[in-house]
Amino acid sequence: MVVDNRRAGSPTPGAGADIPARRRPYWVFGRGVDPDPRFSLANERTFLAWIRTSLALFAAGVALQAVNLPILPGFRRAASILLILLGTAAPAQALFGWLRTEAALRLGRGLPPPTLAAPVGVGMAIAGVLVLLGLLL
Amino acid sequence: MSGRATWGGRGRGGDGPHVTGDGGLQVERTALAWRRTAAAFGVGATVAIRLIASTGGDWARIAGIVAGLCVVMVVAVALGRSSLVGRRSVRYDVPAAPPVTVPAPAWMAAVAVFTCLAGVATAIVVLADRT
Repeated sequence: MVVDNRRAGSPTPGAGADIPARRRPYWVFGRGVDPDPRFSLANERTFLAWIRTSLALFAAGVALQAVNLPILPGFRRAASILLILLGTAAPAQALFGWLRTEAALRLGRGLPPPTLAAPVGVGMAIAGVLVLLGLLL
Repeated sequence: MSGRATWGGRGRGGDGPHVTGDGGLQVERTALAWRRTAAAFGVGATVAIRLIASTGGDWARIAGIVAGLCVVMVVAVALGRSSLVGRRSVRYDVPAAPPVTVPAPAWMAAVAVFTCLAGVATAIVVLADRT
Protein backbone atom coordinates (compact mmCIF):
# COMPACT_ATOMS: atom_id res chain seq x y z
CA MET A 1 0.00 0.00 0.00
CA VAL A 2 1.86 3.03 -1.26
CA VAL A 3 0.35 6.42 -0.72
CA ASP A 4 1.81 9.50 -2.31
CA ASN A 5 1.45 12.20 0.32
CA ARG A 6 2.77 14.92 -1.91
CA ARG A 7 -0.63 15.42 -3.43
CA ALA A 8 -2.61 17.90 -1.45
CA GLY A 9 -5.68 16.55 0.24
CA SER A 10 -4.47 12.99 0.63
CA PRO A 11 -3.79 12.67 4.33
CA THR A 12 -1.88 9.67 5.54
CA PRO A 13 -4.30 6.91 6.51
CA GLY A 14 -4.52 6.42 10.21
CA ALA A 15 -2.70 9.63 11.04
CA GLY A 16 -3.99 13.01 11.98
CA ALA A 17 -4.65 15.60 9.33
CA ASP A 18 -2.28 18.01 11.06
CA ILE A 19 0.74 16.13 9.79
CA PRO A 20 2.65 18.17 7.23
CA ALA A 21 2.33 16.40 3.91
CA ARG A 22 5.52 17.88 2.52
CA ARG A 23 7.97 16.67 5.08
CA ARG A 24 11.46 16.22 3.62
CA PRO A 25 13.05 14.15 2.29
CA TYR A 26 10.18 13.08 0.05
CA TRP A 27 11.70 9.73 -0.81
CA VAL A 28 11.29 8.84 2.86
CA PHE A 29 8.37 10.80 4.27
CA GLY A 30 6.45 11.48 1.08
CA ARG A 31 5.48 7.84 0.63
CA GLY A 32 3.82 5.09 2.56
CA VAL A 33 2.03 5.29 5.89
CA ASP A 34 3.28 6.31 9.31
CA PRO A 35 4.67 3.18 10.96
CA ASP A 36 4.25 1.89 14.48
CA PRO A 37 5.98 4.44 16.75
CA ARG A 38 8.01 1.71 18.46
CA PHE A 39 9.74 0.87 15.20
CA SER A 40 10.61 4.50 14.48
CA LEU A 41 12.01 4.92 17.97
CA ALA A 42 14.07 1.74 17.65
CA ASN A 43 15.37 3.05 14.33
CA GLU A 44 16.38 6.28 16.06
CA ARG A 45 18.27 4.33 18.74
CA THR A 46 20.12 2.41 16.03
CA PHE A 47 21.21 5.74 14.56
CA LEU A 48 22.54 6.77 17.95
CA ALA A 49 24.34 3.45 18.41
CA TRP A 50 26.19 4.06 15.14
CA ILE A 51 27.07 7.60 16.24
CA ARG A 52 28.52 6.25 19.49
CA THR A 53 30.40 3.60 17.50
CA SER A 54 31.89 6.41 15.46
CA LEU A 55 32.92 8.26 18.62
CA ALA A 56 34.58 5.12 19.98
CA LEU A 57 36.46 4.56 16.70
CA PHE A 58 37.70 8.17 16.66
CA ALA A 59 38.71 7.91 20.32
CA ALA A 60 40.62 4.69 19.67
CA GLY A 61 42.37 6.14 16.62
CA VAL A 62 43.36 9.35 18.39
CA ALA A 63 44.38 7.55 21.58
CA LEU A 64 46.70 5.23 19.65
CA GLN A 65 48.65 8.26 18.48
CA ALA A 66 48.33 10.39 21.59
CA VAL A 67 49.41 7.80 24.14
CA ASN A 68 52.98 6.60 24.01
CA LEU A 69 52.69 2.88 23.54
CA PRO A 70 55.51 0.47 22.68
CA ILE A 71 54.15 -0.14 19.18
CA LEU A 72 56.22 0.20 16.03
CA PRO A 73 55.43 3.72 14.70
CA GLY A 74 54.47 2.55 11.22
CA PHE A 75 51.98 -0.02 12.49
CA ARG A 76 50.65 2.36 15.10
CA ARG A 77 50.06 5.07 12.53
CA ALA A 78 48.43 2.66 10.07
CA ALA A 79 46.07 1.31 12.73
CA SER A 80 45.28 4.83 13.89
CA ILE A 81 44.44 6.08 10.39
CA LEU A 82 42.35 2.98 9.69
CA LEU A 83 40.32 3.50 12.88
CA ILE A 84 39.78 7.17 12.03
CA LEU A 85 38.59 6.28 8.52
CA LEU A 86 36.13 3.79 10.01
CA GLY A 87 35.01 6.49 12.44
CA THR A 88 34.33 8.75 9.47
CA ALA A 89 32.29 6.08 7.71
CA ALA A 90 30.12 5.18 10.71
CA PRO A 91 28.03 8.41 10.79
CA ALA A 92 27.26 7.91 7.08
CA GLN A 93 25.87 4.48 7.94
CA ALA A 94 24.00 6.07 10.84
CA LEU A 95 22.28 8.69 8.71
CA PHE A 96 21.57 6.73 5.54
CA GLY A 97 20.68 3.58 7.46
CA TRP A 98 18.20 5.60 9.48
CA LEU A 99 16.59 7.17 6.39
CA ARG A 100 16.46 3.91 4.43
CA THR A 101 15.01 2.00 7.37
CA GLU A 102 12.39 4.69 7.96
CA ALA A 103 11.44 4.53 4.28
CA ALA A 104 11.21 0.73 4.42
CA LEU A 105 9.03 0.91 7.55
CA ARG A 106 6.71 3.39 5.89
CA LEU A 107 6.35 1.22 2.80
CA GLY A 108 6.04 -2.03 4.76
CA ARG A 109 9.06 -3.49 2.99
CA GLY A 110 11.93 -5.57 4.31
CA LEU A 111 14.52 -3.61 6.24
CA PRO A 112 17.73 -2.68 4.41
CA PRO A 113 20.87 -4.44 5.62
CA PRO A 114 23.45 -2.35 7.51
CA THR A 115 25.72 -1.81 4.51
CA LEU A 116 28.81 -0.73 6.42
CA ALA A 117 28.56 -3.24 9.27
CA ALA A 118 30.79 -5.82 7.60
CA PRO A 119 33.45 -3.34 6.37
CA VAL A 120 33.65 -1.74 9.81
CA GLY A 121 34.01 -5.16 11.44
CA VAL A 122 36.73 -6.23 9.02
CA GLY A 123 38.51 -2.89 9.42
CA MET A 124 38.51 -3.20 13.20
CA ALA A 125 39.94 -6.71 12.93
CA ILE A 126 42.72 -5.40 10.66
CA ALA A 127 43.44 -2.55 13.09
CA GLY A 128 43.70 -5.09 15.90
CA VAL A 129 46.12 -7.22 13.88
CA LEU A 130 48.22 -4.13 13.07
CA VAL A 131 48.46 -3.22 16.76
CA LEU A 132 49.36 -6.79 17.65
CA LEU A 133 52.08 -6.96 14.98
CA GLY A 134 53.39 -3.58 16.08
CA LEU A 135 53.69 -4.88 19.62
CA LEU A 136 55.32 -8.20 18.71
CA LEU A 137 57.70 -7.30 15.90
CA MET B 1 -2.01 -1.59 10.26
CA SER B 2 -3.03 -5.13 10.92
CA GLY B 3 -0.80 -7.63 12.63
CA ARG B 4 0.66 -5.27 15.18
CA ALA B 5 2.24 -7.14 18.01
CA THR B 6 0.47 -7.47 21.30
CA TRP B 7 2.42 -5.60 23.88
CA GLY B 8 2.05 -3.57 27.00
CA GLY B 9 2.48 -6.59 29.24
CA ARG B 10 0.12 -8.57 31.40
CA GLY B 11 -2.60 -9.31 28.94
CA ARG B 12 -3.24 -5.93 27.49
CA GLY B 13 -4.26 -6.46 23.90
CA GLY B 14 -2.08 -4.71 21.36
CA ASP B 15 -4.62 -4.54 18.59
CA GLY B 16 -7.34 -2.87 20.52
CA PRO B 17 -8.21 0.72 19.78
CA HIS B 18 -7.40 2.01 23.25
CA VAL B 19 -3.91 0.72 23.92
CA THR B 20 -1.95 3.45 25.58
CA GLY B 21 1.05 3.37 27.82
CA ASP B 22 4.53 2.29 26.90
CA GLY B 23 5.10 -1.28 28.02
CA GLY B 24 8.47 -1.46 26.31
CA LEU B 25 9.44 2.00 27.58
CA GLN B 26 10.34 2.85 24.02
CA VAL B 27 10.19 6.59 24.52
CA GLU B 28 12.25 6.49 27.69
CA ARG B 29 14.84 4.18 26.12
CA THR B 30 15.17 6.54 23.17
CA ALA B 31 15.55 9.56 25.44
CA LEU B 32 18.20 7.71 27.46
CA ALA B 33 20.01 6.73 24.27
CA TRP B 34 20.19 10.42 23.35
CA ARG B 35 21.44 11.30 26.81
CA ARG B 36 24.22 8.76 26.85
CA THR B 37 25.21 9.81 23.35
CA ALA B 38 25.36 13.40 24.56
CA ALA B 39 27.39 12.28 27.59
CA ALA B 40 29.80 10.41 25.31
CA PHE B 41 30.18 13.55 23.21
CA GLY B 42 30.86 15.61 26.33
CA VAL B 43 33.55 13.24 27.57
CA GLY B 44 35.06 12.80 24.11
CA ALA B 45 35.19 16.53 23.40
CA THR B 46 36.71 17.26 26.81
CA VAL B 47 39.52 14.78 26.21
CA ALA B 48 39.93 15.96 22.61
CA ILE B 49 40.17 19.62 23.57
CA ARG B 50 42.64 18.76 26.33
CA LEU B 51 44.80 16.91 23.78
CA ILE B 52 44.45 19.62 21.17
CA ALA B 53 45.22 22.41 23.59
CA SER B 54 48.74 21.11 24.11
CA THR B 55 49.52 21.39 20.41
CA GLY B 56 48.41 24.98 19.83
CA GLY B 57 48.01 26.66 16.48
CA ASP B 58 45.10 27.72 14.28
CA TRP B 59 44.09 24.21 13.31
CA ALA B 60 43.92 23.21 16.96
CA ARG B 61 41.68 26.18 17.66
CA ILE B 62 39.36 25.25 14.76
CA ALA B 63 39.21 21.62 15.88
CA GLY B 64 38.43 22.69 19.44
CA ILE B 65 35.64 25.00 18.29
CA VAL B 66 34.10 22.29 16.08
CA ALA B 67 34.24 19.79 18.95
CA GLY B 68 32.62 22.31 21.30
CA LEU B 69 29.86 23.15 18.79
CA CYS B 70 29.26 19.45 18.30
CA VAL B 71 28.67 18.94 22.02
CA VAL B 72 26.31 21.91 22.26
CA MET B 73 24.28 20.66 19.30
CA VAL B 74 24.01 17.06 20.47
CA VAL B 75 23.04 18.17 23.99
CA ALA B 76 20.36 20.46 22.50
CA VAL B 77 18.89 17.66 20.37
CA ALA B 78 19.09 15.25 23.30
CA LEU B 79 17.17 17.66 25.51
CA GLY B 80 14.55 18.12 22.80
CA ARG B 81 14.08 14.39 22.36
CA SER B 82 14.06 13.83 26.11
CA SER B 83 11.04 16.09 26.35
CA LEU B 84 9.11 13.31 24.63
CA VAL B 85 9.10 11.44 27.93
CA GLY B 86 5.78 11.91 29.60
CA ARG B 87 4.30 13.70 26.64
CA ARG B 88 0.77 12.56 26.06
CA SER B 89 0.95 12.98 22.33
CA VAL B 90 3.03 9.83 21.94
CA ARG B 91 0.30 7.26 21.59
CA TYR B 92 0.56 3.68 20.57
CA ASP B 93 -2.97 3.11 19.42
CA VAL B 94 -2.41 5.08 16.26
CA PRO B 95 0.45 5.00 13.78
CA ALA B 96 3.21 7.45 14.49
CA ALA B 97 2.86 11.07 13.59
CA PRO B 98 6.34 11.93 12.28
CA PRO B 99 6.81 15.26 14.04
CA VAL B 100 6.45 13.53 17.39
CA THR B 101 8.05 10.14 17.01
CA VAL B 102 10.63 10.92 14.33
CA PRO B 103 13.18 13.65 14.89
CA ALA B 104 13.83 16.23 12.21
CA PRO B 105 16.00 14.69 9.49
CA ALA B 106 18.00 17.93 9.31
CA TRP B 107 19.07 17.52 12.94
CA MET B 108 19.96 13.89 12.40
CA ALA B 109 22.06 14.87 9.39
CA ALA B 110 23.69 17.67 11.39
CA VAL B 111 24.60 15.27 14.21
CA ALA B 112 26.11 12.78 11.75
CA VAL B 113 28.06 15.44 9.81
CA PHE B 114 29.38 17.16 12.93
CA THR B 115 30.48 13.85 14.41
CA CYS B 116 32.57 13.30 11.29
CA LEU B 117 33.93 16.84 11.26
CA ALA B 118 34.88 16.96 14.93
CA GLY B 119 36.48 13.50 14.81
CA VAL B 120 38.47 14.18 11.66
CA ALA B 121 39.58 17.62 12.85
CA THR B 122 40.81 16.22 16.15
CA ALA B 123 42.49 13.30 14.42
CA ILE B 124 44.31 15.57 11.96
CA VAL B 125 45.62 17.82 14.71
CA VAL B 126 46.79 14.90 16.86
CA LEU B 127 48.27 12.91 13.94
CA ALA B 128 50.11 15.94 12.60
CA ASP B 129 51.52 16.66 16.04
CA ARG B 130 52.60 13.16 17.08
CA THR B 131 54.49 11.77 14.17
